[in-house]
Amino acid sequence: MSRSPVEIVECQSRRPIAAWLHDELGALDLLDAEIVWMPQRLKAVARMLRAGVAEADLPQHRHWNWWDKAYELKMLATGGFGIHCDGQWQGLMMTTTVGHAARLKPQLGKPLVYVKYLESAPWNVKAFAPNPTYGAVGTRLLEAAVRLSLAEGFAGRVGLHALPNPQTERFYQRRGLIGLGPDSDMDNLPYYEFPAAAAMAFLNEGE
Amino acid sequence: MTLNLTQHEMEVLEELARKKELNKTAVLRQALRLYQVVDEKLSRGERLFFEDDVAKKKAEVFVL
Repeated sequence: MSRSPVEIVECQSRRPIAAWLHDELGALDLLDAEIVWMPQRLKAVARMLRAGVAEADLPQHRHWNWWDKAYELKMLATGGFGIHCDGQWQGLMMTTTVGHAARLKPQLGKPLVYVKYLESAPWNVKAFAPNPTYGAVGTRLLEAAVRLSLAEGFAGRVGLHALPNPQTERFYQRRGLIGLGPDSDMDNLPYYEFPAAAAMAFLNEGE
Repeated sequence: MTLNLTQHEMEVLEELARKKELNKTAVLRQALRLYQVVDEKLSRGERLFFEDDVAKKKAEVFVL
Protein backbone atom coordinates (compact mmCIF):
# COMPACT_ATOMS: atom_id res chain seq x y z
CA MET A 1 0.00 0.00 0.00
CA SER A 2 1.48 3.39 -0.92
CA ARG A 3 0.71 6.59 0.89
CA SER A 4 1.34 10.31 0.54
CA PRO A 5 0.93 13.20 2.98
CA VAL A 6 -2.19 15.39 2.73
CA GLU A 7 -3.85 17.96 4.94
CA ILE A 8 -7.36 17.80 6.27
CA VAL A 9 -8.99 20.31 8.63
CA GLU A 10 -9.88 20.00 12.28
CA CYS A 11 -13.39 21.43 12.28
CA GLN A 12 -13.43 22.92 15.77
CA SER A 13 -10.15 24.84 15.54
CA ARG A 14 -10.17 25.22 11.71
CA ARG A 15 -6.49 24.16 11.87
CA PRO A 16 -4.95 22.04 9.11
CA ILE A 17 -4.04 18.56 10.29
CA ALA A 18 -1.52 16.19 8.71
CA ALA A 19 -3.02 12.99 7.35
CA TRP A 20 -2.07 10.22 4.94
CA LEU A 21 -3.72 9.42 1.65
CA HIS A 22 -3.47 5.69 0.95
CA ASP A 23 -4.08 4.68 -2.65
CA GLU A 24 -3.93 0.89 -2.70
CA LEU A 25 -6.39 -0.19 -0.03
CA GLY A 26 -6.94 -3.87 0.55
CA ALA A 27 -9.93 -5.79 1.88
CA LEU A 28 -8.59 -5.69 5.44
CA ASP A 29 -8.41 -1.89 5.37
CA LEU A 30 -12.11 -1.76 4.48
CA LEU A 31 -12.86 -4.23 7.24
CA ASP A 32 -10.88 -2.15 9.76
CA ALA A 33 -12.86 0.94 8.75
CA GLU A 34 -16.21 -0.81 8.91
CA ILE A 35 -15.52 -2.30 12.35
CA VAL A 36 -15.29 1.27 13.64
CA TRP A 37 -17.74 3.05 11.32
CA MET A 38 -20.72 0.70 11.49
CA PRO A 39 -21.39 1.08 15.24
CA GLN A 40 -20.99 4.85 14.87
CA ARG A 41 -23.54 4.96 12.05
CA LEU A 42 -25.97 2.79 13.98
CA LYS A 43 -25.62 4.89 17.14
CA ALA A 44 -26.23 8.05 15.13
CA VAL A 45 -29.31 6.53 13.48
CA ALA A 46 -30.69 5.47 16.87
CA ARG A 47 -30.07 8.97 18.24
CA MET A 48 -31.87 10.54 15.28
CA LEU A 49 -34.83 8.18 15.46
CA ARG A 50 -35.18 8.87 19.22
CA ALA A 51 -35.09 12.59 18.44
CA GLY A 52 -38.06 12.13 16.13
CA VAL A 53 -36.30 12.18 12.76
CA ALA A 54 -38.45 10.40 10.18
CA GLU A 55 -36.92 7.29 8.60
CA ALA A 56 -37.11 8.94 5.18
CA ASP A 57 -34.93 11.79 6.45
CA LEU A 58 -32.11 9.60 7.78
CA PRO A 59 -28.77 9.81 5.90
CA GLN A 60 -29.14 7.89 2.64
CA HIS A 61 -25.88 6.02 3.02
CA ARG A 62 -26.63 4.77 6.54
CA HIS A 63 -26.73 1.17 5.25
CA TRP A 64 -23.39 1.29 3.38
CA ASN A 65 -20.95 -1.45 4.28
CA TRP A 66 -17.42 -1.20 2.89
CA TRP A 67 -16.61 -4.77 3.82
CA ASP A 68 -19.35 -5.89 1.42
CA LYS A 69 -17.55 -3.99 -1.33
CA ALA A 70 -14.12 -5.47 -0.56
CA TYR A 71 -14.32 -8.20 -3.23
CA GLU A 72 -14.29 -5.48 -5.90
CA LEU A 73 -10.70 -4.60 -4.99
CA LYS A 74 -9.38 -7.72 -6.70
CA MET A 75 -10.39 -6.21 -10.05
CA LEU A 76 -7.55 -4.49 -11.94
CA ALA A 77 -9.96 -1.68 -12.78
CA THR A 78 -10.85 -0.96 -9.16
CA GLY A 79 -8.97 1.50 -6.99
CA GLY A 80 -9.27 1.78 -3.21
CA PHE A 81 -8.32 5.05 -1.53
CA GLY A 82 -8.45 6.16 2.08
CA ILE A 83 -7.48 9.07 4.32
CA HIS A 84 -5.88 7.97 7.57
CA CYS A 85 -5.38 10.26 10.55
CA ASP A 86 -5.57 10.04 14.32
CA GLY A 87 -5.32 6.24 14.13
CA GLN A 88 -8.54 5.91 12.12
CA TRP A 89 -9.79 5.84 8.55
CA GLN A 90 -11.31 9.29 8.07
CA GLY A 91 -12.69 8.67 4.60
CA LEU A 92 -12.77 6.01 1.88
CA MET A 93 -13.25 6.01 -1.87
CA MET A 94 -13.57 3.26 -4.45
CA THR A 95 -13.05 3.98 -8.15
CA THR A 96 -13.21 2.08 -11.41
CA THR A 97 -11.64 2.80 -14.77
CA VAL A 98 -13.92 0.61 -16.89
CA GLY A 99 -17.65 0.40 -17.55
CA HIS A 100 -18.27 4.15 -17.62
CA ALA A 101 -17.59 6.73 -20.31
CA ALA A 102 -17.86 10.52 -20.27
CA ARG A 103 -21.34 11.94 -20.91
CA LEU A 104 -20.64 15.65 -21.20
CA LYS A 105 -20.73 16.78 -24.82
CA PRO A 106 -17.14 17.94 -25.33
CA GLN A 107 -15.78 14.70 -23.85
CA LEU A 108 -18.59 12.32 -24.80
CA GLY A 109 -17.51 8.68 -24.96
CA LYS A 110 -14.01 9.35 -23.60
CA PRO A 111 -12.77 7.19 -20.73
CA LEU A 112 -12.97 8.54 -17.20
CA VAL A 113 -12.41 7.55 -13.62
CA TYR A 114 -15.79 6.68 -12.12
CA VAL A 115 -16.15 7.14 -8.37
CA LYS A 116 -18.27 4.21 -7.22
CA TYR A 117 -18.35 5.14 -3.54
CA LEU A 118 -17.00 8.01 -1.49
CA GLU A 119 -17.71 8.38 2.19
CA SER A 120 -16.29 10.30 5.12
CA ALA A 121 -16.20 8.61 8.51
CA PRO A 122 -19.51 9.06 10.39
CA TRP A 123 -17.93 11.46 12.91
CA ASN A 124 -16.93 13.73 9.99
CA VAL A 125 -20.40 13.94 8.45
CA LYS A 126 -22.86 16.56 9.65
CA ALA A 127 -25.77 14.24 8.91
CA PHE A 128 -24.41 11.81 11.53
CA ALA A 129 -22.51 14.14 13.88
CA PRO A 130 -23.77 17.63 14.77
CA ASN A 131 -20.14 18.72 15.36
CA PRO A 132 -17.98 16.95 12.80
CA THR A 133 -14.36 16.20 13.74
CA TYR A 134 -12.47 16.59 10.45
CA GLY A 135 -13.31 18.40 7.22
CA ALA A 136 -11.86 18.43 3.69
CA VAL A 137 -11.74 14.63 3.66
CA GLY A 138 -14.09 14.34 0.66
CA THR A 139 -12.18 17.05 -1.17
CA ARG A 140 -8.85 15.22 -0.71
CA LEU A 141 -10.41 12.00 -2.00
CA LEU A 142 -11.92 13.76 -5.01
CA GLU A 143 -8.48 15.22 -5.75
CA ALA A 144 -7.11 11.68 -5.65
CA ALA A 145 -9.71 10.65 -8.25
CA VAL A 146 -8.64 13.49 -10.54
CA ARG A 147 -4.97 12.56 -10.08
CA LEU A 148 -5.77 8.95 -10.95
CA SER A 149 -7.57 10.18 -14.06
CA LEU A 150 -4.48 12.13 -15.09
CA ALA A 151 -2.20 9.17 -14.41
CA GLU A 152 -4.42 6.94 -16.55
CA GLY A 153 -4.30 9.40 -19.44
CA PHE A 154 -7.96 10.40 -18.94
CA ALA A 155 -7.14 14.14 -18.73
CA GLY A 156 -8.76 14.58 -15.31
CA ARG A 157 -12.21 13.40 -16.36
CA VAL A 158 -14.14 11.99 -13.39
CA GLY A 159 -17.77 10.89 -13.17
CA LEU A 160 -19.98 9.82 -10.28
CA HIS A 161 -23.52 9.40 -9.06
CA ALA A 162 -24.26 11.55 -6.03
CA LEU A 163 -26.68 10.83 -3.25
CA PRO A 164 -29.75 12.91 -4.02
CA ASN A 165 -29.62 15.52 -1.29
CA PRO A 166 -28.86 19.24 -1.48
CA GLN A 167 -25.76 19.07 0.76
CA THR A 168 -24.04 16.34 -1.24
CA GLU A 169 -24.94 17.84 -4.60
CA ARG A 170 -23.73 21.27 -3.49
CA PHE A 171 -20.42 19.69 -2.49
CA TYR A 172 -19.83 18.46 -6.04
CA GLN A 173 -21.20 21.58 -7.73
CA ARG A 174 -18.88 23.82 -5.71
CA ARG A 175 -15.90 21.81 -6.86
CA GLY A 176 -16.80 22.27 -10.49
CA LEU A 177 -18.58 19.07 -11.40
CA ILE A 178 -21.47 19.45 -13.83
CA GLY A 179 -24.81 17.84 -12.97
CA LEU A 180 -26.54 15.96 -15.76
CA GLY A 181 -29.69 15.20 -13.80
CA PRO A 182 -31.19 11.97 -12.48
CA ASP A 183 -30.02 8.78 -14.16
CA SER A 184 -32.86 6.32 -14.74
CA ASP A 185 -30.31 3.49 -15.06
CA MET A 186 -29.05 4.21 -11.52
CA ASP A 187 -32.21 4.50 -9.42
CA ASN A 188 -32.52 8.12 -10.55
CA LEU A 189 -29.38 9.15 -8.68
CA PRO A 190 -28.07 12.45 -10.03
CA TYR A 191 -25.04 12.04 -12.29
CA TYR A 192 -22.12 14.48 -12.03
CA GLU A 193 -19.07 14.80 -14.20
CA PHE A 194 -15.83 16.78 -14.10
CA PRO A 195 -14.97 18.37 -17.42
CA ALA A 196 -11.21 17.98 -17.90
CA ALA A 197 -10.54 21.74 -17.58
CA ALA A 198 -12.64 22.11 -14.41
CA ALA A 199 -10.88 19.10 -12.88
CA MET A 200 -7.51 20.74 -13.48
CA ALA A 201 -8.74 24.01 -11.95
CA PHE A 202 -10.04 22.10 -8.91
CA LEU A 203 -6.71 20.35 -8.51
CA ASN A 204 -4.72 23.58 -8.79
CA GLU A 205 -6.99 25.22 -6.21
CA GLY A 206 -6.03 22.60 -3.63
CA GLU A 207 -2.28 22.90 -4.23
CA MET B 1 6.97 -8.91 -22.92
CA THR B 2 6.63 -8.55 -26.65
CA LEU B 3 3.16 -8.29 -28.10
CA ASN B 4 2.71 -9.63 -31.61
CA LEU B 5 -0.24 -8.11 -33.45
CA THR B 6 -1.33 -8.48 -37.05
CA GLN B 7 -1.45 -5.35 -39.14
CA HIS B 8 -5.24 -5.26 -38.84
CA GLU B 9 -5.08 -5.64 -35.05
CA MET B 10 -2.54 -2.84 -34.88
CA GLU B 11 -4.77 -0.62 -37.02
CA VAL B 12 -7.70 -1.26 -34.68
CA LEU B 13 -5.50 -0.52 -31.67
CA GLU B 14 -4.30 2.72 -33.24
CA GLU B 15 -7.86 3.74 -34.16
CA LEU B 16 -9.11 3.08 -30.61
CA ALA B 17 -6.16 5.01 -29.18
CA ARG B 18 -6.98 7.95 -31.45
CA LYS B 19 -10.71 7.80 -30.72
CA LYS B 20 -10.31 7.52 -26.94
CA GLU B 21 -7.35 9.90 -26.78
CA LEU B 22 -5.23 7.28 -25.04
CA ASN B 23 -1.87 5.77 -25.87
CA LYS B 24 -1.78 2.17 -27.09
CA THR B 25 -0.57 0.81 -23.75
CA ALA B 26 -3.53 2.48 -22.00
CA VAL B 27 -5.98 0.98 -24.51
CA LEU B 28 -4.59 -2.52 -23.95
CA ARG B 29 -4.59 -2.01 -20.18
CA GLN B 30 -8.25 -0.92 -20.34
CA ALA B 31 -9.08 -3.94 -22.49
CA LEU B 32 -7.50 -6.31 -19.96
CA ARG B 33 -9.33 -4.66 -17.05
CA LEU B 34 -12.64 -4.86 -18.90
CA TYR B 35 -12.05 -8.49 -19.84
CA GLN B 36 -11.37 -9.31 -16.19
CA VAL B 37 -14.55 -7.54 -15.00
CA VAL B 38 -16.68 -9.29 -17.64
CA ASP B 39 -15.11 -12.68 -16.94
CA GLU B 40 -15.60 -12.25 -13.19
CA LYS B 41 -19.27 -11.32 -13.59
CA LEU B 42 -19.94 -14.20 -15.99
CA SER B 43 -18.17 -16.59 -13.59
CA ARG B 44 -20.60 -15.46 -10.89
CA GLY B 45 -23.54 -16.36 -13.11
CA GLU B 46 -24.32 -12.84 -14.34
CA ARG B 47 -25.13 -12.19 -18.01
CA LEU B 48 -23.98 -9.49 -20.40
CA PHE B 49 -26.35 -7.71 -22.78
CA PHE B 50 -26.20 -4.98 -25.40
CA GLU B 51 -29.37 -2.92 -25.52
CA ASP B 52 -30.50 -0.59 -28.28
CA ASP B 53 -33.19 1.73 -26.91
CA VAL B 54 -34.04 3.16 -30.33
CA ALA B 55 -34.38 -0.14 -32.16
CA LYS B 56 -35.82 -1.80 -29.03
CA LYS B 57 -33.33 -4.61 -29.37
CA LYS B 58 -31.52 -6.51 -26.69
CA ALA B 59 -28.85 -9.10 -27.39
CA GLU B 60 -26.92 -11.25 -24.99
CA VAL B 61 -23.17 -11.17 -25.45
CA PHE B 62 -21.28 -14.43 -25.17
CA VAL B 63 -17.66 -14.09 -24.13
CA LEU B 64 -15.02 -16.78 -24.46
